[in-house]
Amino acid sequence: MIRFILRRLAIIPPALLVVHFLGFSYAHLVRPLRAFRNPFLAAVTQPEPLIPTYSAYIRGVLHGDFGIMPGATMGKFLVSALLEAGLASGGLLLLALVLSVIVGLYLGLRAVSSDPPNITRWLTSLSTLGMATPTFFLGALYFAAWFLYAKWTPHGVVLPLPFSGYGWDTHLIVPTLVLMARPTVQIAQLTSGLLVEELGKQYVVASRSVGQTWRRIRWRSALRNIFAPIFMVIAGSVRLLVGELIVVEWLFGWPGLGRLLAQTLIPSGVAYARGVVERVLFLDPPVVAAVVMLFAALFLFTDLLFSVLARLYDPRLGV
Amino acid sequence: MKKETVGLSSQVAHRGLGVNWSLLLGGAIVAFFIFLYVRGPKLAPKDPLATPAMVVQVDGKWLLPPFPFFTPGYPLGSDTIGRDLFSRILWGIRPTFTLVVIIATVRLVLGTVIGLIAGWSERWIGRLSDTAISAALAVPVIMVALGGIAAVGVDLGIWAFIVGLSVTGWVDTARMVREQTAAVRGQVYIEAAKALGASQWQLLNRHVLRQVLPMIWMLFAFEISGTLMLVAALGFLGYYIGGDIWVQVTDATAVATTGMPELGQMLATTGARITQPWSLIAVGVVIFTAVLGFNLLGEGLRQRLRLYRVRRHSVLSGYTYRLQLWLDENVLWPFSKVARMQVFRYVFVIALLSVVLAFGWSHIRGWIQPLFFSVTFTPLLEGDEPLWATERGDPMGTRGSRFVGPEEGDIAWVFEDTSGFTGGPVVGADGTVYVTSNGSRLYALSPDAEVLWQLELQATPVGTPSLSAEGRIYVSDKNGGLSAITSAGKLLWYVPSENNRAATAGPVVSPSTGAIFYPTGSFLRAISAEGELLWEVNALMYGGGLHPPQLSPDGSMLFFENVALKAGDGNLLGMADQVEVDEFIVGADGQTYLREGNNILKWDETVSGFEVTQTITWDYMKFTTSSPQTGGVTPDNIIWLFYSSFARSMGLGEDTRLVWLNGNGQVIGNVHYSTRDSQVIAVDGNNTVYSCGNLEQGYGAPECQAFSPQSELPLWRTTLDGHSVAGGALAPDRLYVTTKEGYLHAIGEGGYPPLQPGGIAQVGTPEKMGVEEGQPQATSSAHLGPAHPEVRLIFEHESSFVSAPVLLDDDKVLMAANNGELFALDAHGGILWKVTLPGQPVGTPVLGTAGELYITDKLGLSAYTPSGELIWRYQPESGKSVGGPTIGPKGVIYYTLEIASKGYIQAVSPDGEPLWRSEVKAFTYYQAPQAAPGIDFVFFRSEAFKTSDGSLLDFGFPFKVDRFIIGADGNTYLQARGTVVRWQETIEGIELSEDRVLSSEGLSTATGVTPLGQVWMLGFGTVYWFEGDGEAIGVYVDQEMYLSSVMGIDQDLRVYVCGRSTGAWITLKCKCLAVQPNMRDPVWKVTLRDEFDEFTGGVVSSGKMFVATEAGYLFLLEDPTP
Repeated sequence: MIRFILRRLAIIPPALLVVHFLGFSYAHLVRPLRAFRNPFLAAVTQPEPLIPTYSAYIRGVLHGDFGIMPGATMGKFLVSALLEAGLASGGLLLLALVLSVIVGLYLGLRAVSSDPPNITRWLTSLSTLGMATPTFFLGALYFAAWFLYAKWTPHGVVLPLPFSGYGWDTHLIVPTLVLMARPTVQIAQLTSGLLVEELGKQYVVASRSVGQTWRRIRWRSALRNIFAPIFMVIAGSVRLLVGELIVVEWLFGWPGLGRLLAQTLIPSGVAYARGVVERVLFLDPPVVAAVVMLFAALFLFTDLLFSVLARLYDPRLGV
Repeated sequence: MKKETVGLSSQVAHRGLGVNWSLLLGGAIVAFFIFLYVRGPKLAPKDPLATPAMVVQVDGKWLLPPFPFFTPGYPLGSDTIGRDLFSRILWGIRPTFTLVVIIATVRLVLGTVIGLIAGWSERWIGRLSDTAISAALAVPVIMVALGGIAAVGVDLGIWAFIVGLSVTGWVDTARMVREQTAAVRGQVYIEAAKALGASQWQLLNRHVLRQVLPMIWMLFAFEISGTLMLVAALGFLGYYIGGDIWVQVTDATAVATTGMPELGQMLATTGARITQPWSLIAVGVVIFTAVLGFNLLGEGLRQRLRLYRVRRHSVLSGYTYRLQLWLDENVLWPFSKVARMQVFRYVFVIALLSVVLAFGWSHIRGWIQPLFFSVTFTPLLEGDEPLWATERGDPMGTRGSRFVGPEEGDIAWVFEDTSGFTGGPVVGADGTVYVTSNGSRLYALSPDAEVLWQLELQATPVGTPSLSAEGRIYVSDKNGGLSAITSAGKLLWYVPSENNRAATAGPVVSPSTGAIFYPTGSFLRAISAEGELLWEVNALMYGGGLHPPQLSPDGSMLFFENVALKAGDGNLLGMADQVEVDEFIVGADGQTYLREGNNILKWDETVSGFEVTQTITWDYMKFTTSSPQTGGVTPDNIIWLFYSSFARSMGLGEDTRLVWLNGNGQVIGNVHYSTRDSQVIAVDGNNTVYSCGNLEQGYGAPECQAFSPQSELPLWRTTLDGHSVAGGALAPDRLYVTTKEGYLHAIGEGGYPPLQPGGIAQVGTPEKMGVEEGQPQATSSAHLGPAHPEVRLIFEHESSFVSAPVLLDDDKVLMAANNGELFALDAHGGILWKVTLPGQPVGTPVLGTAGELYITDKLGLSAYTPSGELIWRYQPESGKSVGGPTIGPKGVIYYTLEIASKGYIQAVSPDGEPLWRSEVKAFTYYQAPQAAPGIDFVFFRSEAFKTSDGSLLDFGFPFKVDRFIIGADGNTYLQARGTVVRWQETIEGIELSEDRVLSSEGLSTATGVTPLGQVWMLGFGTVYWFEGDGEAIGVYVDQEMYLSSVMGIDQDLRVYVCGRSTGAWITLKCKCLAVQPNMRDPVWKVTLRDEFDEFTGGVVSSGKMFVATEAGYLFLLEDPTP
């Protein structure tokens, strides 16, 4: 097991370096292409050769100079800016993941009838509805509700929940709920599917014939057997979460990595309305490279974590 | 596809047919969307591109777009620039779903191919595909899509999306196909076939594809829902087709392309206000329903693929079972039989591919736009107001036009119909001219005299036709009938008259109900918009009914010569009993007036009947002895009276005479001219009256003139062909006049509607505002600025200006220049005095109560006498001044100071002694603080300091304050996003008032409060006005003034703004304009500089406005002296 972990860990740094280089060269090559057609950016850059620019940047990094954030966060160091964004995102992501795993597993395991093994209707309906609900739609519903509530309350009354914004208090509640909605439903749906499949197996019939209760079969034997695939389901839901994170951070003005990524990939004129984009951030090579690398690290470590967990629970997977 | 492992018990218990609800429901929803795809645009009630209203009134309240749900006329509300969301959704489904289907097809084809290879091949290509699937699975598709679209650029249109969404988007399909293929590969029959010597191709074709292809429909359904979800999310983030954001928005064509109705665009937060997410919700519901429908369909298809279905016992199950059987037997089985044929599969694949290729090709050829939008991109303009709708301009008969008519009287062209015209022309919203001739013809002419179409009418028309808001043309005729004609020249319906009483004038259309009214002698007929006779009454009045009736502003009353009727049922209103009415007048200001001889009475309808609220009498005996022919009231309350008589030579009546009165009855203009038998054609936005009459005692050729109150002579005069004038119409820069002998004259070079201000309202933070934010807030003068200014460059400084002009008295201004000079100038640019400051000046000087001057320079603060002698100087040991001075209570002066990269507020006593110094938190502090004599705080952006000791106050507001505002009404306000609230300090702390202003924009660069407590905001080319209780009273949008600042505002809420458009790639022009809440177009607009420059500020005094620019120019905008 240790060797497995070490081997996987050893792959990560070179993989991240490659991702960093790819991200950097993507932004570096695409930026002049876009600028050529875009009057806002026309004056930004003259195309420069990629390799010398990248090696110059890396040399700077090796000397401890990661560069500074362009734009309104002027003067803020890239590392500290990314660190702040990473913490903001990480907190939100972790909270949403933990909650969606708890709620999703609970719903998924509860929603299976034992004899015959089947998924109950309410979960099927819930998951069909849930998977069809766009995240921004949920957010928009909240905004509308907030706005109407604010109109009806007397002036000067502090509303129980903030409209949007960043903070480790009540600000967290709605973004977390909106973010976890679809992953929760996904986890519930897949878990219940796994359990139904497991309960349909021959050993279940055998256990029944020996007189074991459904309760025992379900929580002792079946659940243990599906632990490993459940970990892979959770790992998959992390990817869904990250996809949704971009939208949610955009929606609520949460200054995290998702918003930063959107800022680097969506030109300002599009996104200016919410005051969140500095046009200088658009396709800025160091920022794109760093953000992409952070996301890659997140995926790689998540994958490692859940593969290890899955292997711990299911020796059949091998090391 | 997951391998189905069915338990023993379930295999026994659950075989059989149940109703596949998912399939039925999903199929129904998808069928509905297919219907909307095909028919949607035809069902749309409005033009999806038209922005008919920036503000609408509902239940007496003004609403700014985005209008919420169920606003009358906007069932789903509107988007941020007032376009009907319901129509836009109906239009938007087509392009969005086309995009989605194309992308889903590409992804399906890619996914199937890659999945087959990965599942089948054991060679390097299989391993490669396998790795590709794992890699693609590892990253969320939305991230890759964002990257892909960013690389290709959304301005390349649909290709960006195909690339962005297909790079890794195929992965879900590929995974399912791989699993299915791998499952098939392990089967024994494959081994058997191999043993029999089947080739790889045969195996794939005969065995694998047969197992995979039934999944295609299911995969396709899931692919569509997945793509739709992603397209929606991308739209929300700001990437949507037609999202060609770099197009100049003032250009009309560009507005059309950016505004292309597409679901993603409607979700974009670019223009949407997150506080009013109506559009997000409405379109969100559409997306949700569609995704649900396709998911259900896919799920249903997946269930069909399984062999078992859950059977449930219920009352309905017997029937639904039979329905299912019937469907299976008659619909699904024959269909799937065809679908299973090998030939069909190839045909299907080829068809799919060719659809994709054809779309690609057609897109390259630029065909996709005309394919989808050929109908709408031609100006439909439904719902836009006609430029000239009836004989007297509008249904109220004001004869007023908000446009300005021709400046010169040159005839652009003459159109001839020898049978003669029956009345004047009308002009549609797009500038098309409609006119009827005695030869029973209705002509539609372009403003360039091109005959667009002509129509043979049922009978000889009478008078001037009338245009409805939808662009329909109504014509009354000699048989007493009424024709309704579409704007394309098709007869919609015809209502004959039972009694054949000939119509005596053209019709008029009620803008509120769409009903049409026209006179037949003293009778008045009302016809509904659908062509049914509503009522016909005898109005019992004297006179021939030679003009159409006039509607009251709310459309509830009709005025017909000197009687008033209810528009609903034609009942007479007993007003004539109380006062002798010569003529009812509906003013362009929305008020009702009546004329009694030479006097004008303003009246109102009250509970007790009707009530005269104001009598405007004037000394008419000085001017005339006769009674006017007619009169009117302009939007700014100017009354005009028009005298003209045919019988002047017999000593009766008058030659043409025009008198303008202001609201108090003072004569502000009087013109006497020698034509007879004249008529008023129109009054334009400058109060210029256009009239036409006959020369030489009334027998000569007709002549038209333009009269302005400022001049005793006509501005221009033009002789017409023919003998007697039939009517006329006014369009922007164009006057149309017809004569009964059959000549239609077009005077002036215009005729087209002005380009609409607006378009996609892009919002942003300007990099640099021309003027310090603090400047305009306090300048709420009671003076009226210039009304139609001429620009004079009165001074040019060799260095650049740093300050706004400061008004010393009405004619003198004070300026500070970059080279350290402070000087006073008179209105002609003559230097009265000049001093040199010890350092480079900063900000704008201020005037103390005793007339003394305070100015900051980099080194300190100086006080001067009004004649330029130094009184005292305060110079701190360190730090430099960065913001101009402000005067607070007890004459204390405050200014901003920078010491070691930190900002401070410095308080200095009126005799030059430093009082306190406090640090400001704001990151940028290069502006003046705000203070006012009666207020105990000094404000600096969102910070407030006590004037007594400089302590920073924490009010503990439950929200972030963007700025504090000192209102001209002496109250303190604060702004948080779009909300402006009044607050005051009480013993118990800070108290917020009930007032709440919510601008839909949420972003403004300057906000102020007038002495009457009204609020104005300026931000990014938009000026908003609000009443103190938050009701919107006006909005003005002008992208040319994107970066601008307010120079002053007067009591009529007229705002004087100077600024420029944004961006560095277009010609920058520095412009000034004056706008008013009740006017759609600016009162005036002038260009000051044709080159790049910034305004440092301006000041408004009576009839004047001084404006300075950074480059060292001082302009005086002044009304020309009469």
